[in-house]
Amino acid sequence: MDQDIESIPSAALDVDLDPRFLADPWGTWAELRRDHAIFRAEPGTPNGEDIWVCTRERTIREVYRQGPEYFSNQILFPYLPPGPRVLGLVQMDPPEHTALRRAMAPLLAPDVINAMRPRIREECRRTIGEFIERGECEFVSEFAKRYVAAVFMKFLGVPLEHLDEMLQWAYDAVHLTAVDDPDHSKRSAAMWNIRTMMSSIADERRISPKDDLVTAMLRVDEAVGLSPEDFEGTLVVLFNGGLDTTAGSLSFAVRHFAEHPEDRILATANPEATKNATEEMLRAFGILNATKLVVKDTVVGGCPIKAGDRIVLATSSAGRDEEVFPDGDVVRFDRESYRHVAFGLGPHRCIGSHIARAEIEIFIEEWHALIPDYWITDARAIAMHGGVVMGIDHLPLGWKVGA
Amino acid sequence: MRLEINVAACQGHGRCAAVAPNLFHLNEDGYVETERIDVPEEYEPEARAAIANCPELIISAGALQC
Repeated sequence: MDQDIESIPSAALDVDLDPRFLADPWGTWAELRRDHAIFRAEPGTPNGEDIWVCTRERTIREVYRQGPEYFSNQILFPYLPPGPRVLGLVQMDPPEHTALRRAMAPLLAPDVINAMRPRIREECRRTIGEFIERGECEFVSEFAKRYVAAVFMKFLGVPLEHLDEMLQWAYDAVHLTAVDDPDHSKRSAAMWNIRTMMSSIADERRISPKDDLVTAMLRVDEAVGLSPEDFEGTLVVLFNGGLDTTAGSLSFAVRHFAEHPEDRILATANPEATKNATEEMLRAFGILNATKLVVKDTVVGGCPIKAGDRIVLATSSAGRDEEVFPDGDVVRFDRESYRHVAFGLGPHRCIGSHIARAEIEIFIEEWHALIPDYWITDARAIAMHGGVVMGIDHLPLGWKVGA
Repeated sequence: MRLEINVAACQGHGRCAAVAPNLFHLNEDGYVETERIDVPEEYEPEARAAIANCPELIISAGALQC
């Protein structure tokens, strides 16, 4: 018998624009997850393809198990149509993806990042030092983005002179909605600006190599043999991934700590507690709604999925999946396991996960050493964005000076 | 206790080496290469932590448990 259309689980959700989702993403996920491990989001794409959303770890794992034969990384945003590959590494599928990913792995491996820790700490303290005497800051623009940029752009080899402009490009390339940018022209312009800048830095490094990631990527390119589009696209991914995602995670973490003073004490009690707190922030405040293109008809969680549909792997929801974490809405630093999927699973596991963890961990230590007591000065002013990488856009904090 | 690791499915999350540093060592790429680890009794808590924390679920307690 044909599948009864009424029995297909569906729910209204637009992760870019739904005001209820933007006000409380994890509360919205809890309600959706209660009814559906996977559902069809209404409305679908502008072209009428279905958008399926996996809310639980087991449905996300099922998609990874079925793999690239059914689910392709060639798209990144649920609402945009497939097009030419512009972002190298993240839009590739195995086996093409495998060689590039393998060649890049040592550049961002745990040992490399651990050696950077003293410099990350220094950049963290220096960034806080820029505003600590004022007794207030706008956390996202004055701390999160600047700290992450100071760490990662130097590592990558991007000069920081035009930081404000670069931060705007990074935002526009990922976070503009159909309302902000109906014809995608702003998004395209931002992508073009990032690509042009990265490409000119790569040209400079070809002539005079430096000790940075762009130079290392020239060697990766030699070894793997990328097309110019994929080489530049991969540099764009490094630029954006290094700036945007960690800033999002830091802003949700600081909001939690601002609202829960007791957790600041617990999270900074010893290095082990800080590591656990880092994992707990990643788990409870997952920011990723990774999207794949369905390339072959299949079934996930009992739902019929057609080639051409989109599938959203809401790891932001899965971090609180009651089947894995029965008290997932509670933030605790004494769990037996922090086995979350915030960085994704499978071959596309976030390649920057090690540096992201180090940045969050060092932030928790250094921020609380310098500013132990602080608060949100205007909760109504908090603004956030949803989409494939969620984050806070505006978060005003205050503290006493000269105590 | 013995650990078995499906190294072909390792994706380099690095959690095993983070929670069980006495048992797990990553290669230069940040991936695990060892397929079997005989766990000294003193490190059994670390072994259990590694099993519980691997996001890819590729670490298991081997069949030959004493």
